[in-house]
Amino acid sequence: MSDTDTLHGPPQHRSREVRSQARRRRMLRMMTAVLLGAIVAAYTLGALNERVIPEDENDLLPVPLEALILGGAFTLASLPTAWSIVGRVLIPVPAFYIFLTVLLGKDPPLPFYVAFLVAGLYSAVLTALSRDLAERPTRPKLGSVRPRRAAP
Amino acid sequence: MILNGTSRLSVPWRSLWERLARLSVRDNEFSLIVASALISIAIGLAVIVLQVVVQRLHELNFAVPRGERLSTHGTPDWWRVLLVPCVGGALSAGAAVLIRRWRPREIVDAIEANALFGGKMSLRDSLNLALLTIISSGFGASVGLEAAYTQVGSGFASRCGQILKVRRGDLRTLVGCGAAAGIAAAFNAPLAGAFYAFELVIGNYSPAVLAPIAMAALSSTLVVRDLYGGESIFELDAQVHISGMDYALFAALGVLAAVIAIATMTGVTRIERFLRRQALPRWVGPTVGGLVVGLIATIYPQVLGAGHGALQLVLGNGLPWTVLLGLIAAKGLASAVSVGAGFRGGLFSSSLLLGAVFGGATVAALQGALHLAGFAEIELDRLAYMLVGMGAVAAAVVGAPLTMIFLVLELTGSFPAALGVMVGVIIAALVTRHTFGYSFATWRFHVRGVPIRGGFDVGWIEDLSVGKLMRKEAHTLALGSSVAEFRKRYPLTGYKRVFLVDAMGRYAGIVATADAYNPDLDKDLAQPVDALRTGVDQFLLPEQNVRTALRRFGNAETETLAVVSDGKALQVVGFMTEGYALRRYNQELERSRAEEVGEHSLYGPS
Repeated sequence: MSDTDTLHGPPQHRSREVRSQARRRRMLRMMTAVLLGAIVAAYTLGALNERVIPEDENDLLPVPLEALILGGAFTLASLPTAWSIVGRVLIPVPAFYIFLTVLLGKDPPLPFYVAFLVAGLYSAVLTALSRDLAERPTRPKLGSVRPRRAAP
Repeated sequence: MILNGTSRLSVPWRSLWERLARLSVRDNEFSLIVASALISIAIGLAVIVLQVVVQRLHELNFAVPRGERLSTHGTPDWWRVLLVPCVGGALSAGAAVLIRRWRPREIVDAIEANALFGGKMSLRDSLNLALLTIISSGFGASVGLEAAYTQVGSGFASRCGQILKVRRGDLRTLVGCGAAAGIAAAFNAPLAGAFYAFELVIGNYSPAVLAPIAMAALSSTLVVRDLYGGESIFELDAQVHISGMDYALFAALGVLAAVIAIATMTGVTRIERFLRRQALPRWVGPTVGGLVVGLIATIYPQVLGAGHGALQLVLGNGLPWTVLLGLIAAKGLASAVSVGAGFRGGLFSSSLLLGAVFGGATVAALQGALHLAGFAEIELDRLAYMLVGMGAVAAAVVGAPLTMIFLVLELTGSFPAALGVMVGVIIAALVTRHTFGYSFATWRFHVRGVPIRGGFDVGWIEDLSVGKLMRKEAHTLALGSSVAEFRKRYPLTGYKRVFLVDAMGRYAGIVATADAYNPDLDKDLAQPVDALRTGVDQFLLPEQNVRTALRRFGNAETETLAVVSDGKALQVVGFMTEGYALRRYNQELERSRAEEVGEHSLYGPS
């Protein structure tokens, strides 16, 4: 299966077996995206509730909704579809602000410049991870460590 | 002790003394019990040393006050949280690279040693692994020290057994004793330690191994209690109250615990694959892993280290369910990243914390649902659910249900809690076995391509290879030879079968001597013997084991198969009969069974 198959589905001239394998693989990747989105939502919800400084708790939306939106955006951004870029656009800025408030509002708070940097890293990691999940190549890069094969 | 004593003796006396020492351990069950107790005392001391070293590293690296645990102590300084795991990752990777140059082969652990190598382990490799685990845990990676305890314990016991030249079965028992002593001393829980050895390291329970393993677990526990204090990983001051409805909910909790356990185990492999895909230098993986753990710990400092302190914190305080939910994600992620990125250590402790947090979040969610449904008067016991979650997730990850039940019983001293845990643990173990089929240890073996599912001895099957069992006097005849030539070279009363080979000497089939002497052939003795051959494409290879050979006999529907050098050259090097293979297989099975039950039969230990 080539990389383009993930975007438009497998070509019809392939055998039923190949097509069903491709379908299963797509389904697995979608389930992975949903599961990881749930993990991101849970992580964010717990993090937002770690805040103890009142000034950092004046959120625009209810806390569970914020966590759900970020988890949902991550799920969308991780789906193996062409339009997953839409979800990816939604991640960086909200994720940065959410984790910045968490890091500044927890006890003890991080210094601002550290919180800024760490929130930026959180935002970058979430964006990069979702991109990798959505567009991950099926073949390893040259020079990467190959997994050991099972003995015959 | 014996070696130290003998080193001062002259050569003949030393030889006699060593022979006596081996004889007494080899032939006497009581000597094996005494040996296991003495070995376990040393292992108890080793566990204390490991714990003290890691505690000092925590005090040094994270400024933890003397005597306090890392994850109980609140949030360490931000720069320590971010920097120390990264440094630990770089150190761990550097040490691993150096060790791999010196000892390039994969380190054999207790389960693998007992399953494949008859209990033979390298003490040097075990100490190397302990060093890597100390670096990992001491610098905040989200891994436990249990791998180091069992590796050092079983490696030391195996070394002692090899010096004493004990039998294969006894060596496997000693490896189990080492692991039992390590876990019992670490958790101050002798029953859990003993059952850890039965379930994981030896692979079964039998009366023959009960006494040495129980003695080992007791000895190391008593040593640690006497020298280091009888501290458990957590202290509970509340009683557990369980009603009838709770048991049904515990079963549901067990199902969800299995899902979490499977997600964590597969998560480790996925992270490993992800890092492999990035084509990073070998030393970068653990450093990046350390950075990720540090990033997680800036929000959830409880993920640092094994998590015993956090376990006490979670069980003692009523953290809000939202924080518990976040902590499940954080701890699962941190543990998977730590192991997947290349830190050494296990998921035993991590799964205990993960399970307790999961139980706490579940009970909070259930309590909320009951309030919403108008059943506010029903109060669920938070502690009971946390203990059940702890046992269930850990049982699914570690693959040792009885160990977890006894661990909870020994740590809490509460029979109602142990009963509740039993329900959750059994369901979690059942679901994991049927849907996933592995514990974390056996999953790692599977990923590495090692075909074992536990500590039970399958090494003897590999040892019983076709190359060892075959008869080497294979008589050959050129393909195309006539019946007359055959009769001239091989009389009827001589060999039962002759192997045909082509001009290149490659195997081309078997001709039974009796077939060549069929009276119907007498009228045309010039005809080629090729028409009488059988098993043209059926042959065995010397490296195949007896089980594969028996399967080949079944498929080929023949009683004799040629053994050829390899699949391409096809040079006949011998042959094997089905009857002999079956006889040897049965003998080994009988010997193995006799060893397990301690029976002194024909093929068992004398």
